[in-house]
Amino acid sequence: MPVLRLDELGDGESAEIIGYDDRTPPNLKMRFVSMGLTRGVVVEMVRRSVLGDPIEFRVRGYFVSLRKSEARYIKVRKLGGAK
Amino acid sequence: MVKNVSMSYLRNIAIVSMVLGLIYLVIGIVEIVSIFTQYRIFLIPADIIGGFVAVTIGLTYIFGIRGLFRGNKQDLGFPLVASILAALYFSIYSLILLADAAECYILKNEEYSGWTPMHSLRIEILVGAIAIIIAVGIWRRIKKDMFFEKIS
Amino acid sequence: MKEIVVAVIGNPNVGKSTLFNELTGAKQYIGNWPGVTVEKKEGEKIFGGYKIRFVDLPGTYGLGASSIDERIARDYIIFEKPDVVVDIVDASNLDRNLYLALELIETGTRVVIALNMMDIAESKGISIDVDALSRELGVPIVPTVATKGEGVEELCSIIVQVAEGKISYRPLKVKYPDTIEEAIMEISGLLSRITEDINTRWLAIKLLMQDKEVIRYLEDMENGKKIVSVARNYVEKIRSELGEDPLFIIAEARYGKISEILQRTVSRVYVEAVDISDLFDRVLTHRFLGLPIFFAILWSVFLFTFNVAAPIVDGIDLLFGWMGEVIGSWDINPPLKSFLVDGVISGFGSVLVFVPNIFFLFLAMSILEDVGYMSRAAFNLDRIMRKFGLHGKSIISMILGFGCNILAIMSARTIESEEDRLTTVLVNPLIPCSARLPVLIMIASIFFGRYAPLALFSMYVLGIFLALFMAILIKKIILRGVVSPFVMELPPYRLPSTKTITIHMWNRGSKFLRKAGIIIFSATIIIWALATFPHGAEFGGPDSYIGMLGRFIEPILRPLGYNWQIAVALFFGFIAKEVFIDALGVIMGGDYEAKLGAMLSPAQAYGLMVFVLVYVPCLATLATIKSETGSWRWTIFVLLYELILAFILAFVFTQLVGVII
Repeated sequence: MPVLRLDELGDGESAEIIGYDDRTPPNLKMRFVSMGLTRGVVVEMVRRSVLGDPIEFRVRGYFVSLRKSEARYIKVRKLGGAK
Repeated sequence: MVKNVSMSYLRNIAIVSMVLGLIYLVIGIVEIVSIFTQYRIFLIPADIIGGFVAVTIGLTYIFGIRGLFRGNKQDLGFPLVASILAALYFSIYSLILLADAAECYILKNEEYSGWTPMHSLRIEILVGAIAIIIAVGIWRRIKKDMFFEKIS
Repeated sequence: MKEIVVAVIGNPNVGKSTLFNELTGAKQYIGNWPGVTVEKKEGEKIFGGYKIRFVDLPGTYGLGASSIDERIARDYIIFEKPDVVVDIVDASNLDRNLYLALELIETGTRVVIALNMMDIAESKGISIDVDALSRELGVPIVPTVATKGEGVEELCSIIVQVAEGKISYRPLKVKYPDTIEEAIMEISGLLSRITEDINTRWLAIKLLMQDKEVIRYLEDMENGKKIVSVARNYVEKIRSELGEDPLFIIAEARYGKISEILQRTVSRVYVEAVDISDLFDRVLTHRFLGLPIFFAILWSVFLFTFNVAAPIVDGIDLLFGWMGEVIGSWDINPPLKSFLVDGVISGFGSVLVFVPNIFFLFLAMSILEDVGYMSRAAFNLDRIMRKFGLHGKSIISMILGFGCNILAIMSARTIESEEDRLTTVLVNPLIPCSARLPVLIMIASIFFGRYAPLALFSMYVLGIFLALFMAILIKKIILRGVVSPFVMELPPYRLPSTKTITIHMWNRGSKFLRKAGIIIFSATIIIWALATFPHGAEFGGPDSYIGMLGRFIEPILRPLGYNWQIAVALFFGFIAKEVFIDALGVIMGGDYEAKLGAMLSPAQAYGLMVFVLVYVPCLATLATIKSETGSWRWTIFVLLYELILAFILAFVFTQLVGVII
């Protein structure tokens, strides 16, 4: 399954987080980590905002929204098939 | 998709949505257009923003119709939200009516010297009352039928 | 009575304020954490023979340094060392919530977990073995349902027992991979030589995670730099040996431990067939309907705040007007009479008149926030707002500004990031509030006749444009630095508890009265004094102090075409914008409109409109800025930048319009 960035997931698609971009700002990294967006976790893209940005995801049983520019830093591998 | 909620229920809601949706749409358009004419229809004020709000409520009802006819129970959100908004404005306009009454009768404010309750009565208060019933009905149905599936 | 200090912490949206309110009752004191716009809440409860002082820390997801809120929470726990820390955990969302719990335990502080929202967890079919969980984590856990007040007494009881040392406390120690444990051992060994205060294991872990604040803190200490570089070497070593940044290894170890624990203690019996929140979100964040619905909701807040509250506001106005008349009819010493009527009563009146609006506004906003809608609103609008350096939630503030800047500034409270909050607050006074309207209308109708509406409209456009422009400017130049992550939870929709909303609303109002009210009242008295003295001078006339001030300022205003009378009126306008008109009437006499019309050219009049639009926020607004930002520095900044901007713009526009007309 191909590797992409979190902001590239389509509606309803799920993926597993495999890491962060090397250039991720440290405070963003900390925030990702404390919110549970860590390696091995499955993320599901729920919807985009009215204007396309931010994007809502389901992760660890709750819903989180990230700006496109923030989601860009997260590397994911798509899981087979949409919901 | 769990069929706890029958298709006929969804279709009925779709019809209600159609009716209420059109009503609010028309109210809204009239309120906006009234700004530019001198004619006033009974109980419908000239109010651009209020008209815009009514149009929004109408459209929210209407957007849910197709999905409901198709049996998609997730689309019950549309009439639910629309009814809640309608109920919200029922409350606000009613409160404003009371506030105006207070200004006129209690405070004896000069600006309200010729005022009567009819001045502040709006159609959204009447139609909104119906919407409240719809909102409560849909909500009750959702809570009762659609909540849980047991994980075996 | 002996005191126990308890810090209350937790993820956002776990019902922290509800529980805090249950613990402290309505007796709360709200202020700001020093120098920032973050609110600090404290409350007390007498229990078991102790006075328990509760300090509410900002909601946070971890104890890192990714935002000001986090730093405040962390610094308080590490440096102020409360006796007990209560971590409020959402029982229906344990996975993520326990991360903060683990971090707290690692700091070495005494933790008590309040397992909140047990009713929601139960309704979702989640069953938690609380005793087992407590044993695994090694800390006492108290199940609570804050909205119903359940578990609160038990929580207090446990707090007291923990503070007295009566509970055997064996906190969990997460064991990291060997390489990391070695590094921790060595680093903490070195650290224990330079600090006795802070838990060295925790510090060592933070260093390995390369926490910027911790690094900065240590580098300031003697021998600190050496330890920091030892840590850095270990980071490199771990990277090469384990192929991964220690930050991740540590985080993953923590989450791994959490999963392990949850598997043993929590079971889920049901799954929702229809997600209620999703049902709402499909509509509320709908491509076409999302924004119109947002405006519909916002408009209702507007109507509620201004129109429904109007009779109460007018009532207060009437009351004070009546009091003024009553005293006016007393046969007492004229200066004393003036002091009472124009000073004291006017002062009180000008403060109290805002309170109903504040109550109503915050009633509405609390409901929206607690229900969970605010985060959807921010979600919808973030993209546009961000282009101007603002947060999605800033739009609410901006729009409220058209009604009253005070309310708008107070509403910025709900914005999560400090920088966005500050920016929103600082530019808001540029948005033309309803008090400026009478003044602008008066000037426009004297000078522009048919074109008056156009002139008026241009003021609104100018105001909005300036606000956005200054926002970009402030964000880029002055606040360059930490950009807080937007990453935000979209909490499930919940029915808010009446008690919480009422307390919330009450707190806002009393905060306003306490902080802003005093400033407004004092300033009114001062201006009254300036207008009355020296003895024998006509009130507000050329020989009064304020008149002298006006004449003193006149030369500066001359290029704009204003004389000392306008200057004095502008001073009065500082109290409240509408007062400009009254002042003009007092100083120039009944035919002030004609006099004004003769004094200025249309171009200068337009410039005056711009000046009135921009020059300073009204006194109450300024006081609110001080109260919300907690800093005189920013308050004076607003005062100055608006004054300067007003001069420049008024001048520029006077020339421009002079050329056009």
